[in-house]
Amino acid sequence: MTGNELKELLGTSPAECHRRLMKEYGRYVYAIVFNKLRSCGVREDIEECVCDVFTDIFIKFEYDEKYVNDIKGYIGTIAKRKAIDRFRVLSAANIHNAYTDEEEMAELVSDFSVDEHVDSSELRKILLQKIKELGEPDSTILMQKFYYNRKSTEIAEAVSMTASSVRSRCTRAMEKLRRKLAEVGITR
Amino acid sequence: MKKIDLFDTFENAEDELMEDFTDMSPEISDEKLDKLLAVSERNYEKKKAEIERTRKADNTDDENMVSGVERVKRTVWLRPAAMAASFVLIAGTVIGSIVLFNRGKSKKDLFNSDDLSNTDNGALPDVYTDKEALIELCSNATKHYDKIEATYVHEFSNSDYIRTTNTKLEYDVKGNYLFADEKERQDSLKGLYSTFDSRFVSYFYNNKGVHINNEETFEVSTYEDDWYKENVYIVCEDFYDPKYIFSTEPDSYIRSERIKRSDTWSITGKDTVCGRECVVVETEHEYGKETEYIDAETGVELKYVYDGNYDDEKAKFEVTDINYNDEAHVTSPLEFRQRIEENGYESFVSFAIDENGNRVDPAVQNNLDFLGIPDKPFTTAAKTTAVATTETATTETIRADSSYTDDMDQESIIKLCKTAAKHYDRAYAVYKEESTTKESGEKNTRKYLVQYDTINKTIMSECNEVSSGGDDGNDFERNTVGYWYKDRNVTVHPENGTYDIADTSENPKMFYRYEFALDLSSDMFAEELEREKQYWSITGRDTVCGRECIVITMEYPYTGSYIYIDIETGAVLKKICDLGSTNYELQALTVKYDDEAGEFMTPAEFKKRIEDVGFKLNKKYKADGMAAMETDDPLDLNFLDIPLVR
Repeated sequence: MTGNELKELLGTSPAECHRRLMKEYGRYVYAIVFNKLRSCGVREDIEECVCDVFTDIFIKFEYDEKYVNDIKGYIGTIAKRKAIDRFRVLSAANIHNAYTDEEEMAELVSDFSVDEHVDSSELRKILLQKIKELGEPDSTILMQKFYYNRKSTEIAEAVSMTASSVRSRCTRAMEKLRRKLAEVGITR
Repeated sequence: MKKIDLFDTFENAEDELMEDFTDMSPEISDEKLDKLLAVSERNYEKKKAEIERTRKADNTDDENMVSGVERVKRTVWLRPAAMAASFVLIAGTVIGSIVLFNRGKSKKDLFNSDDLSNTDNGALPDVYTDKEALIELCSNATKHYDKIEATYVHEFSNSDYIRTTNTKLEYDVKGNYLFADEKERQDSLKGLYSTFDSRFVSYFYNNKGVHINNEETFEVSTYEDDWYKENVYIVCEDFYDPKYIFSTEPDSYIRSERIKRSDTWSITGKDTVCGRECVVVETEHEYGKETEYIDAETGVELKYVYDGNYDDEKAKFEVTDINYNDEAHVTSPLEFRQRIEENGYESFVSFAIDENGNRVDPAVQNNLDFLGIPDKPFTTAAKTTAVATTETATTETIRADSSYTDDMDQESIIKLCKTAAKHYDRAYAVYKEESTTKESGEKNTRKYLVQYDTINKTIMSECNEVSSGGDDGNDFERNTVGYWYKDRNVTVHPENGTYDIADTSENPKMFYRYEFALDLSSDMFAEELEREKQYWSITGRDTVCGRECIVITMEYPYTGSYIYIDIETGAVLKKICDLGSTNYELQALTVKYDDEAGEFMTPAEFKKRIEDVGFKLNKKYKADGMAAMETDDPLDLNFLDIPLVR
């Protein structure tokens, strides 16, 4: 949806416009918010923040036409800023809650060794690249399992597999990833 | 090598990676989307209504155009980064009204008039009976005093939680600076919300806000030309116009709206709050009943009671102490700076990377010079004092003493560390290291002995490791013995009677213990010092194991370390580190060089020991860059037969 289409739709049916915005950019906003709040917020915090972001988006789209030329960039900025606000609040309140349901799998991803000199930005790119190299559905399973902290049952639904298949696939994928990472010097 | 939790690395990632994160994110089901949309729409409608009311009020005198009353539940997560919003229960009623009423009416400076009972025009309108007079009074609240100092308690509860905030507020209208110290406690009644205690101290001045969180860290925010200015939640855009200072916090905003709509409330009498005469105002609406007590001289709201009809909502706000003008003390910007520096709060940035992908330098972002520059440094710690601090410091207080000076500079320290192994032929050391996971309290302790022959490049180590929680969550203790010689490493595991052997020719330092191998020989540590110059400084001297050390302090956004370097040899003898989720301490218990180091176990002796005990070969590795790959290459212990150079 282009900026002008959005503007037109906003004029005729704000509710439909809002729905389409959320449908189209919901996961994008979620990804941004989750990325900022993963360490300090629980799922409810993240979803509340997503709602806040869309509230602001709706308001800003109502009163401001800056979005027209770059909707995604505009939304991304709002999402990031809102998430930063929430991060500060949650960090200050010292709330921390990890909700990995299967603790035994957490050890799969912990305590990797990496050269201290590797820039974290570079490291992120390497990790993501290696995860993508695993191919689907493994990359999605790993990301949803260990990054998005989803339960195997939830992932199973998304990838049309059984939970036990997800678990075993996850373990194997992690082993593959471990080898790929070892090739570039990241070891356990 | 440092340990990482793999997927934690993705946190606070660059924008360019968001596409991939989005692609691999969970789908939002239609049901979930409906829920999120419903909440967003509801919030949007409320917000829009507020904006529209404000617009109308600003553009017309027709008060009847506004109808209905909304209460906006102020959830704790709505607290904006700048916490000015919550200060304002005190004057919120009033000042918010200014936004709505500032339409050129005559304004009387009641508080400063010589005779409060008289005005230039004669008798003062009776605020106890005349609604317009009360509105007028409230509309000009900040003009009725130059300074205000108050303490107040705000309690809010619903069926889910109880939240109590005790606040100390100081505001200088003319100086345009504001101080607030909030202590907040929230108790969850159903376990749906978090229970926590928090303390937020904030100061606003000169387009910036300083926030001290829980008496641990401080962070500076800049609001000029910031996105925040566009955010209706944030009050900071208003701060620089004293008229608006407290206006947009939802609770106070709504109350100010109501005061303006004279048909929605009634003056019901007089009362005294904090020794000040107040006008009592009551409002009833579909959401509940509200009673307010407004200072009859200044228009400042001193008490507020709300009894809601829904969700057991109740709120009570009451000023417990208040002083105006000469009787009010308002912390000056310089005093606030002094408070930060004397308490040693740690400089903190919420995000280490800015929007452009550049690393945020805490020293720049959190520079306090905007609060004024003191004539003398607040911290007068001498050299020894600086070090004494590190001796007892918790890792949460790691910070550099900027006042410290030393004969050594960064370059000379880097050079010393680069050439560390050239300062001795042999070193013997015993180290103890301890790492503690902050959240779980899991503790891992290692004690190890190391012998380092710099001529033969031979290292032997014995390590005893005790952990309060291993990979399987159980306590464990294990011992390992390692020997490095001629591009080979042998690691013996006495517990299971095996040893591993590795070809380290591609990476001679593979498996080295960083401290005794690298810091004693030290090129990698020196490289780190060179690369990270901007993040460390020389902060003192101290003695470790009878050796004089230079102390450097490394400060990163989330981590920090004190590192003690032997000034004669460049060896690292002690570290105190805050690694974010982990506290880490390393301490040399014994360190001896050259002749004092005594006799070392030779490679031949090491081999004989393995053979005598009957340790079995377990795995063979080969260094491949930084990784250790298992290999089928023919590796054996014969390299240990090569005699040492004497």
